Amino acid sequence: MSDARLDAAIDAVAREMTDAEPSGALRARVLARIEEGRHRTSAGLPRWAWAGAAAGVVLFVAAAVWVAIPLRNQDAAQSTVAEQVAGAPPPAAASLERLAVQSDAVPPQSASPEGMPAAAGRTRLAAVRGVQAAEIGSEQGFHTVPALPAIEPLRLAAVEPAPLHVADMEISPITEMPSIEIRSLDPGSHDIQSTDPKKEK
Amino acid sequence: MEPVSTRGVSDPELVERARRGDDAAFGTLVDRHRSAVFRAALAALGTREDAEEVAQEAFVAAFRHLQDFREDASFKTWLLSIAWRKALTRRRSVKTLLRRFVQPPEDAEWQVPDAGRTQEQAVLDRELRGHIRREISRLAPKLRDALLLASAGEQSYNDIAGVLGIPVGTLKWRVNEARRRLKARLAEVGYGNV
Repeated sequence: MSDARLDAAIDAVAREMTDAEPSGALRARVLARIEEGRHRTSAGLPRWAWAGAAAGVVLFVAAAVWVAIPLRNQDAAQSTVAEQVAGAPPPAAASLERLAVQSDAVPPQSASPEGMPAAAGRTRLAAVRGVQAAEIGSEQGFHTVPALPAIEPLRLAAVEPAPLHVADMEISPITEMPSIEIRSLDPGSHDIQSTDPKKEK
Repeated sequence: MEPVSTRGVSDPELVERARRGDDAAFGTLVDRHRSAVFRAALAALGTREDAEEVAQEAFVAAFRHLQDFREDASFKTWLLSIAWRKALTRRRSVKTLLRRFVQPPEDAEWQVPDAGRTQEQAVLDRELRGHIRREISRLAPKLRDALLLASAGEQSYNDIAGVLGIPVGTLKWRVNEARRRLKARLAEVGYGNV
């Protein structure tokens, strides 16, 4: 078969492979879909808006979970401590309370026995009261975190520990050790292995 | 048949009317270019069903993006580019790949009746055409696309290159390479002396 005829045959087949007409309803279907899309857009939100709303809901749920889990853990820890102490105030709250009482007892413009300035004591007192308020709130089912005032740096006076007093003590004497007998080993015994293998040879 | 009101109206004018909300004007554009769009999709996909759906999607997408049409190319080339992208997306889809695997296109829609030939010629040519069709469908997609679009005679090489997004020289090379490979394979089965 000649090359030209083969070319012509290829052209003919290639043309035939795409020589077709679409159905006559194409125009009607296209216009119907355009109209349908118009109604859908005007009736409700467009697709991108739905996608954005869905993303927003997901973000909101994620943020809520992120915030709620630490709070729930805190509640669980508080209730556990409360159950263990059976009515007694938690140790941290008790110590804070003591600190508050001490601060209340300190007159203004005077230093505390530990060397803490009075202003710092008042600041800490406010913080203690804030924590107590938050605890009360949590018992009532809500959590209020009050604004905390700035806490001044803690200054401590020089520490002078009390002298060490050691009471008289007596160490009992060591009792006499009874004699023990050790059996001698035979010269050819293999019970004890030398660290140097050459010596064994 | 194109309505009298839009007969002789250029594509840019119809696009402008469609942008202003004239659906009939866009309908005229559909009528004018539906064959070219459908054939381009058929060249890429090989089945009428897929080509119809892609043509429809392409027209709807073109309507929705009419504001983006800048008129630096013809409306037809712009439209065919949209259709071609959609056809390629569908060709890469798992569904289409599976269907091609089960039912090769040359045995399905690319069968063409022997219209216009005598019975003897038809018998003689049927085998050759069957071989050619089979070998075309086995060509690399880039070569097959170039050959089918160029052979359809719907558009110039410049327009086809624009649709495919390649230089005209590359398009011509692909068409020639497709022919060369086809003739070499046909020679292997006893046709020609290549």
